[in-house]
Formats: sequence, C-alpha cells, structure tokens
Amino acid sequence: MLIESVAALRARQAELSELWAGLERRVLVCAGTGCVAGGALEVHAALTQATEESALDVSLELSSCADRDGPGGTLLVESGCHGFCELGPLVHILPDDILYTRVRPKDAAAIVEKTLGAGEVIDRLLYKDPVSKEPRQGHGEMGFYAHQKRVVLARCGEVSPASLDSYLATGGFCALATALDTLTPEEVLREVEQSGLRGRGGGGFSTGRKWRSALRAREARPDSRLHVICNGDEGDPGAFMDRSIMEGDPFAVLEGMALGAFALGSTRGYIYVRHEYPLAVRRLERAIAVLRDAGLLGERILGCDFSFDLELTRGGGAFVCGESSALMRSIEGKPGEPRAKYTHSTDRGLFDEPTVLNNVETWALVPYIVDHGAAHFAAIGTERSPGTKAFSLVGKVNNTGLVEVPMGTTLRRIIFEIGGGIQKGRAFKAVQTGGPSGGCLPAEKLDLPVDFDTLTAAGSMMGSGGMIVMDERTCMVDVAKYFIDFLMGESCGKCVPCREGLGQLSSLLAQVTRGEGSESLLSKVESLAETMELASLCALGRSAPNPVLSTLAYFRDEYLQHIEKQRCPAGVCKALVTYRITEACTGCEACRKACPVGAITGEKKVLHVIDDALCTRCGACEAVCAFDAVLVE
Amino acid sequence: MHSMQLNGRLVNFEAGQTLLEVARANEVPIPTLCHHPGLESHGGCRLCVVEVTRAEWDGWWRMVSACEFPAADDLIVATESERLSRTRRNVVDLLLARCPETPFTVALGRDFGLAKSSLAPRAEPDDCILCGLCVRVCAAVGAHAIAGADRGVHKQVGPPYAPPSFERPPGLAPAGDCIGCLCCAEICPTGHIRYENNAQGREIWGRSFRVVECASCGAPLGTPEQLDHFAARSGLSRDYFERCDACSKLDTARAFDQQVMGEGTS
Repeated sequence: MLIESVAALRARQAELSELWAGLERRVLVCAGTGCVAGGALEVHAALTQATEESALDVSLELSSCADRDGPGGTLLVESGCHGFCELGPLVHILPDDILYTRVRPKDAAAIVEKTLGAGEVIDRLLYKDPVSKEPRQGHGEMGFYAHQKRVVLARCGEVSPASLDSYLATGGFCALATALDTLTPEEVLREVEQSGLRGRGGGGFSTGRKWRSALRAREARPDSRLHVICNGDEGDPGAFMDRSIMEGDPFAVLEGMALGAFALGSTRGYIYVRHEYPLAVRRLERAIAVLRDAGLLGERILGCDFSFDLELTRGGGAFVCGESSALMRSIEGKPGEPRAKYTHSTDRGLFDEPTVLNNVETWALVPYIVDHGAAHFAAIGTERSPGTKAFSLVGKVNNTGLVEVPMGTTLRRIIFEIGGGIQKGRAFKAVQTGGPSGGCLPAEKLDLPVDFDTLTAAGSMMGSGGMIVMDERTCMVDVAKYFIDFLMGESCGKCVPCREGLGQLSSLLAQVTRGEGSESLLSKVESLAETMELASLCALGRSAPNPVLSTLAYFRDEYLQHIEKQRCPAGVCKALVTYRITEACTGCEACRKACPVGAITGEKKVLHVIDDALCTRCGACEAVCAFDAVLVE
Repeated sequence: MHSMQLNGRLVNFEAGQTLLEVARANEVPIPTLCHHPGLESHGGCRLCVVEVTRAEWDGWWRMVSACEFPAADDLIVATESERLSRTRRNVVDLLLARCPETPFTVALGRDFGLAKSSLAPRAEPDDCILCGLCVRVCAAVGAHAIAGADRGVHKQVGPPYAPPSFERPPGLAPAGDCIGCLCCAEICPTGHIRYENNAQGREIWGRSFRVVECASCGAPLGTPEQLDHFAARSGLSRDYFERCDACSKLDTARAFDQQVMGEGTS
C-alpha cells in the first residue's frame, strides 16, 4: 500500500497505534533462529489451528483486527528473538506477561484453552528459577529480564518482523517523518553528534564524527556520491546480537539507514549480511520490498525531495569481510582483503567514494535518537559511552541469550544477575569479551563497568558484544589456542605478521598444551605478539594476539604449570591429564559401557579401573558417572 | 612546498608522495620486499614499517607501512629504532620459517642477522613468500590470470576457480587466462614461478604455448596469445608486434633513412 505523504504516514500511524492499544492480548511466538531450530514455526502453526478451532477472537495480522465492530481481540504472531534462547521455543503472552518455555506443538491446545480461554497459567511450561526451583510467571519475575534495559531490542520479541503495520503502530518511521517535514539534514546530523553515539561494531568510534568527516569529504569532491553501508557480517563465534536485530526488527535498521542517508545526502545504501544468516537475509529482503511498495524507499520518499534505495549483498563466509575495507572490496566484487586505512573510508571507501559504514546495532539506534532526542539517549549509560549495548551472553552461565543493558553495567551484574550465575554451582573463572580478538578477564575484574574505554584499558575490548563465560573447568591455554586457531583460519593471508604469526602462535601454544617448552617459549610468544600488534596491516591482525596476551597477563601461572609441571590445572589438555576412578565408585558399570575404546574394566559392584594406555581422555566416563567417582588430574 | 621531518631532518616532498618515495628521494634506506615502483602498493610484507608521530600527538605514535602511508606536512617520521629493528627482524624470521630452504629468504635472513629461523619451519615448504608481485604485474599487464586464492596459512597464488591444491597434481594450477608472457616469473623474487622454453614452445601455469618468431630475424618473440593481447590493448596493428624490438628499430631507421636521404638527393 503506497503512502503518498508525510501526513498520510502520520494518519496511518495514528490509526494503527489505536488498533494496537485496543488489543486485548498479544501472543508472541519467538521465531528467532534458535527457537525456529527448536520447532517454533510448528508451535505457531499448532497455535493458529487451535485458535481457529476455538471460539476465540484471534487475528494473525494487526490490520485484520480492524475488520470488526470494535477494537479488541487477540493478535497471534511470530516475533523476533525474545532473547532467552536457552529455553526456546518461547511463547510470550501480553499484557498478562506469561512466558512459556520449551513449548511443543502438542502444548498448543492447552495454551489456547486454558490460558487464552480461561486465563489460567500452565505451571509446567513456566521457567523455573535455577536456584530456588520456583516457577516464574513472566519477564517481571525473572532476573534475566528484570535487569535489562531494552532500547535497540525493544521491538525484538514484541512485534512481527514481517509486519510494517506493527512497526508503524509502535512508533516506527516517526523519526523519518519528523526528519522529512520538520528537520534539515544538518539538524539530524547534529542530533546524532550530540547523542555521543559510538559505533557498536567494535571500534567504538564516534558515529557523529564519522558522518561529519564523510560529509566534508563529499563536499570537497562535489562530483562524487556518498554511500551508506550497514555491516551485518557478524562473524564472532558465539555472537548473535546483530542477527537478532536484523531478524527481529529489520525495519528499524532500514529506517536508521534512511535517516543517515537523509542527513548525509546519500541516495544509495548497501546492507552486507553474511550468507550464514539466511533468516536475516530473507526478512531484510522482504522488509526492503515492503518499504518500496509503501513508498518508504525509492524515488521521492513520501512525496518529498528525498530519494534513497538499498541493495542487499551477501557475504561469502569470510570472517575478515566484517573488516570495513575488506567488506567494501567484497561489495565491489573483489577478493575480501583489507587495505591500509591511511586514507579513511569516509574519504575514499566504496568505489573510492566517501562512505559511511556502521554496524547493524548502530543503525538501528538512529531512529531512537532522532525520535527521543540526543539528550535522552546521552542520559542512558556512561558519559563517554552513552546508550545501551546488546550482548550475546553464552558459555557456562545458567541463562544464556540475548541481553541489553545500559553501558556501565558491571560484568558481575550481567553474569550473575542476568545470567543467573555459573552452571552447576561451579566457580567463575573468566569472561571473554569482544569476540575472538578480545581478551579474557578474570574474577578480579568482575566489578568493571562495561564500556568501550574500560574494557580496552583492561586488555580486552567491547567488540561487537559477544560475551563468553568460562568456569573453573576451562583451561585458559586451551581457550587462547582455540581463538588463535579460529583467527588462523580466518586471516586473509595478505600480510606476513598476521598470516605467518598466527600459524606460529598456534604451534607454540600447542606445545604448551603438551607440556613442552620453557619460559623462553613464552618470551617468543610475547615477541611475536608485539610484532603482530604493531606491524599487521588491519585490525584483525593487530588485535589477534589479544587472547594470548590477556590470558598471559591474568593467568600466567596456568601457562607455567603446563610448561614446568606438565600439569593442566583445569584438566582439559589431553596430553597432561589422566583419568582415574576413586573409591567413590559403586561399580554401576555406567562408565564401562560408555567408554568408546573399552579402556574401563570392572565387575558389577566392584571398583572399576581405567587402563591409562588405552584411555583417549574423551571424558565420556566422567560425564556419565553419577557418583563423581571419575577424577581428572 | 610541503615539508616533514625524516629521522630528525627537515625534508621537502610533493603532494601525493608516499613516505617510501620521500625517503628514497632523500637517500634514506628502508628495506622493502613486496614493493615495486611500477606497481600498485600492496602493504603485505610489512618490512618497510616506519614510526610516525606528530608534535600534537603527545608522544603517541604508530607503526605504518612506508610504501602506502602518504607524506603529510609536519609529520615526524623515524625509519630506524630499536623497536623497528625488532619488528623487521621478526617479520624476516617468519618468512624464513615459511621458506627455510629458499636462497632468497636465506640471504634475507643473513642480512638481518638470522642464520636460520628461530621458529618452526613450514611442513612442506615451497618458495612462495606471497609478496603478491606476480598477481599485481599480471593485473597491470591486463591478463588477470592469477590471484590470491584461499586464505590465512592456506593462502596461495593461482588462477581463479582452480581446484584446491590437495585435489590436483603438484605444480602450478592451469591458468585459463594466462597469455604466457612470463611477467609473473620474471618479477618473482624467489623463483617460485617456474617455466620452460623448449623446442615445442613455452610451458607455464600448467599450459603449453606456441612461440612466435620474429618475421625478420627469426628470434623467439612471444606467444600468439601474448601478441594478440598486446595488439588489442594498445590498439596498434598486430603486424607491429610480429617483429622483435631490434628489427622494429632497424626497420624504422631504414624507412627514415630512405625518406630523408631520398629527399636530399632528389
């Protein structure tokens, strides 16, 4: 449906907001990648069928709620990620705030009959507190949600990502409407500058300054075009913030880019999304098509003197293409290799023309800033890192998922209050922030406020927001080696320090995990790390030694134990550990049956024995032992 | 006129020059490996790193590749320091571990005081140091027959869409767009790109080419593909390329002589 003017858009927004406010109930089935993999689409289909068979007044689209006499009824939709991926598929019922976890299609009839029909809560589908084992009814009662502040994720899990109507009903495109009829491009740019927004992709560079320099570069070259690019090539292991935003609120990303284009006088934008995110690609492509039909993208948007269109480019699976200069070369159709950024891409970026590249989360925050004003945004978070930040909280925490907190929130609060502490009551050992090139911070650093500058000063970095929590059973040498090996496979191979340095670091760390080497090996590691940090061509190589340097800084003793005592304190490095069965063994035979190489012998009710020569240290015996009788030392 | 500080000395430069160009113009040596004045800068070897700072940077400095960093007014550049020596030596050490037997890297190591690499040598080394000169010269010629393939420690030079090295016989992968001009082999500093001129013609990149001889003197000229390419690229007639340089010159001189002398005597 074509919206022809700003006035028509505002009228449509008012109409839809009224419908939205009049809804009696909303049933949101999470259709993020995690829940879809768990069967959320089948749950949605089962709920749809069950409601059709009931006498309830249920609509599948916001606009069809208007077809009846008065407002009201229930809206049942597939939404973006709710964040609590750990317990998907999730079904959230509002305004009652009932969160059902691990829902199966066979639960649909009960949900429709009992909860939607009779207003009863089904206890067995509720989340149980990991400590007290008490059921918790909804977000309000769960630490995971109670300590979050959702700004960029506000719509994720609240609306259908496919529905422009829902986006409009919840304040979407208000910012663009305001920009088009009351603000000048300069005023939009100034709003972004004054908000203090810093790029959420990793570097934390001031977004306003980036925009300003690109605008100046373009003014200096009047014949050139200015491009805006959205970096959706999120490749850090364990990170899925940007994916969730693209899947859960695609219109916000597109509106942010349109606002940027308006402020910068750009007519052409690109979204670069990694090929491994098919759902994000599909939802963005659909959103772009819907906006073109509505006249919100393309020639003369809303009948105003502003034209802007977008193209989606899929990445081919190279981690390094998340680096801005490599990404631009990839869009140009060239091999994704970075170039030295001695000339900034704001000056000469895509096709050698002035370019503004921001990541998904940064773009998605722009409508919020224009809508609520710079001062409102700057008041959230800390002075030098205003706003909120989305993190993907994974690893050995009880509650894993997508979280958003104000900048300056401590690591402790994120891990223990939102994350619900460490699994199985084990001790916290380290948290890895900033993706593979980030660093590992120990327990002493738990009270650090999370912002760009503090994390960098502590030897890690914000990165795009991955947060991997490790417990006492994690070997820090093994972790460092894991990340170095990841980067070794993903280095583009253009410059010597990164390409050859990572290969050498990997083999040096492998020696440590085998208990070989001496202190001089560690100085070799440090010397190579220095060369990589100083001399590598791009940020991937320059930050690649971080996992080694931060673990050496905070867990040096663990390295020394490997080298000097041939001991892996966490019991991980296979060459250095032995598995032994203690007196606690009841002779239940579980481990004997589980051992894939037949290394365990023992009769029923007789102490079992592991033959060390046959044992491959796979840990299967330890995993099945119900009596904690398998000792790893 | 622009000026900057180079190793404590005020030097002039022209807009658009790189630090390497300014240093060379002032006879300040900077080691390079992947640089060639006729080709686009690559910035891959990192041997030409130098330290740059500015008075207003309050002691903050950065290490940059001189072959790419643009000279700028009031920049303060140091081409030698303890840290730079250590970095360059480590870079050479890494290359020596990559190509432990290659005469070129062995000589390079000797220049930097390394009899052998202090690091683990590559398991099955070849002579390629991945400087990218061959790829850039092929692009400059306009053939674009080879490129960097794969990434990280597996990176290699080869034709686009070639099967991975473990799925094909050893040696260079067949390059379909190769014109057999030998530029890549000539520019390769380590002799990794091998070729053969024999009675049947020329072999390189898994391809066999016929070699055309000079129409006048019979000296070997190049492959027909190469002459076609040069003719198409230059817009000159193919005939122009069918004589060797010496014969072309001779022909021109004769024609000139005939014309001038002929006019003089008439």
